Amino acid sequence: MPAVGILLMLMGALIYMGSDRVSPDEDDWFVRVSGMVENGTDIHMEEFRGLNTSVFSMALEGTGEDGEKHDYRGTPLMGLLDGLGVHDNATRVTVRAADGYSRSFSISDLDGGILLVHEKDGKELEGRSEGGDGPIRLIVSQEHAGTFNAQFSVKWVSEVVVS
Amino acid sequence: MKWGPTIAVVSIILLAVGAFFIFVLQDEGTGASLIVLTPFSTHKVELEGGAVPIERIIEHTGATYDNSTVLATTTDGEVLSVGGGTEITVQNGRCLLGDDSELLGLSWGGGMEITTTMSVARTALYSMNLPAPGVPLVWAGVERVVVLELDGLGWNLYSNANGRLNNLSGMDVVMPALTTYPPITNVGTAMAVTGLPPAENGIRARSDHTLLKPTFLEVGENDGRSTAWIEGDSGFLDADMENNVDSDGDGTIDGEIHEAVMAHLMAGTEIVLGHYHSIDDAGHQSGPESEDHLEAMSNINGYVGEVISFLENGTEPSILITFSDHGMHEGRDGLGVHGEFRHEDMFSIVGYELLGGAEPLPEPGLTVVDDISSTVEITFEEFVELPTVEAYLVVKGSKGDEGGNYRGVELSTIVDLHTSGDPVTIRLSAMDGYAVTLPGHYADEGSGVILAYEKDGEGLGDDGPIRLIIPRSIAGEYNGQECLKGVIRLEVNS
Ligand SMILES: [Zn+2]
Ligand SMILES: [Zn+2]
Repeated sequence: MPAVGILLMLMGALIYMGSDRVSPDEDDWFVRVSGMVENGTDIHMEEFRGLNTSVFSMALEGTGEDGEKHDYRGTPLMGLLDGLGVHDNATRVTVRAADGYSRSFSISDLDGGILLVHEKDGKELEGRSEGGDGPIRLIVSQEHAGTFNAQFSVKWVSEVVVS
Repeated sequence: MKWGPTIAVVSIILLAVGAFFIFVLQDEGTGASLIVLTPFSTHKVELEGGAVPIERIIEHTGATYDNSTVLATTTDGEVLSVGGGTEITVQNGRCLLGDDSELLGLSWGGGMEITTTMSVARTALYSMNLPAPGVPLVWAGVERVVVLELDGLGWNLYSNANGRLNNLSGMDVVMPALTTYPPITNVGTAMAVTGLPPAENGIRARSDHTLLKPTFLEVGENDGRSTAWIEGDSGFLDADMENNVDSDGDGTIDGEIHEAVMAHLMAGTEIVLGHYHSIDDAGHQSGPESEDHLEAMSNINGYVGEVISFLENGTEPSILITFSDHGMHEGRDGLGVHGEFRHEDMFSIVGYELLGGAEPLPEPGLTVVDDISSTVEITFEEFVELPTVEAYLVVKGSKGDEGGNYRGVELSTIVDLHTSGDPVTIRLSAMDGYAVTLPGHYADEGSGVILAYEKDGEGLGDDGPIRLIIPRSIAGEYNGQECLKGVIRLEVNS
């Protein structure tokens, strides 16, 4: 019996560790930046709002998007990573959502058209329990991703991994 | 204190926690919505998260899925036939097909047979004995192809026309044909004239003008045939076109375009494309099914009738193909608009008629060539009479996997029957001109390599009539690329 129990405990622990997804509480949302960066960190909402943000006018095309331009407030992913010290030999950055969805980009391709945003048309993005796309969403410009950029614009961003 | 119960309780709690993380947090949150079209209806289906098989999505519209073709339109410009069993993954509010493609929507016949507008170029090319990038609507051999593009005549406008389009509806076959997204002239026309989806032909948006693949006219011209693409005043695609203007000042260029089409027919031009614009123009200006719009349809019907009688009275075996680049729906102001993923815009028409003594041919079989002896023609009927095998096989490409029970003839059976000696290589060619060369041991008995002609008891449709299937045990996980479609020729080098 103890042997079976220990086995079950191990399995439970393994299953727990296997779900290596960062899924913050919507009331205390953060984006975990990890991997090949000097200063990996969890950026909580109040810190995110305190970053040097600007407003960008961008349209999203894809299912469930309206294709119209909206004003998004946020910060370019490139600048954010630069501030945390990306290792010289890092090549990719993967942006992950709380639901496990992810998109990855080559670091050399990062430009001002890849943003982490928290406001749309002057309103904070809501979390997915409210039917929103936030609190933090990636927006990838059409110049960068092509006409159908919505699928690259990860909703509910919880993690940025540099590799 | 006893250890057993304590450990059991703790472990069950931990298991529950683990399972919670896997199964509960894996929920894909808010799900996503997907549009499903039939030629007569548009449905918005709300999907929960996770993997959903195509047939379940169809059934969400209230229909019973009948195992017929389902077409997937993706944001990366593909139009793919997907079968039952193909799964759509709902994640991050998006519907994904395969590893990386976002789905714009699904379309199926809802009980009717449907095709895509790609069958225009495929039929034109196959019937002129030129390499066709896919299966034609009819197997035929002709000396002349006339294609009439009826801009903006969607399937629902066509089916509501009540006898006004009697010459068109009197053709051998007219069926609903899915165009692509966005349903606009340059994108829709490019797909029809190349026989390839936007991802391959390069025309994906209004601002794209440069074709990456040749049109059926260019393929014909490169083969020495005489061709003409008769157009209005436009430059919506960079291609060799004869432009026309409204020289008689009657408000439409279609009279002039029709005269030019008839002149080319009389002059004996072998491959003709005439693009008539007035149905689309009238729909935009006066609204769908307005008096002007219906009158434009009647005029075009008259032009179609003239072309039919000309070819009917001729002695040259010919095929007439008619199609539209997209349809149209009524906008808020009552005028016609198009460009949305909805059935009125996305379902076009494609029709054909064999004229001037042309007859349909049997499905192509297989030509077997041995470098020692000779050439053997096996008809499709003879092919399916050969000893067959059936196996559950998976064909996996980047847009997901298609598993099914394939029936076919083992490669070894064909090679043993028709050639002597051990093959060093085997080269298989398809009707689109594409070929693969396989090592000789693929024809060893029991290798599992087959030439399939049925999947789950049905013909192979767009992938057939005969398709090479190389099991993943030989070709690797992504075997889709090597599983040549439309195989028509086998050469053995021993
Ligand atoms: Zn058009
Ligand atoms: Zn139009």
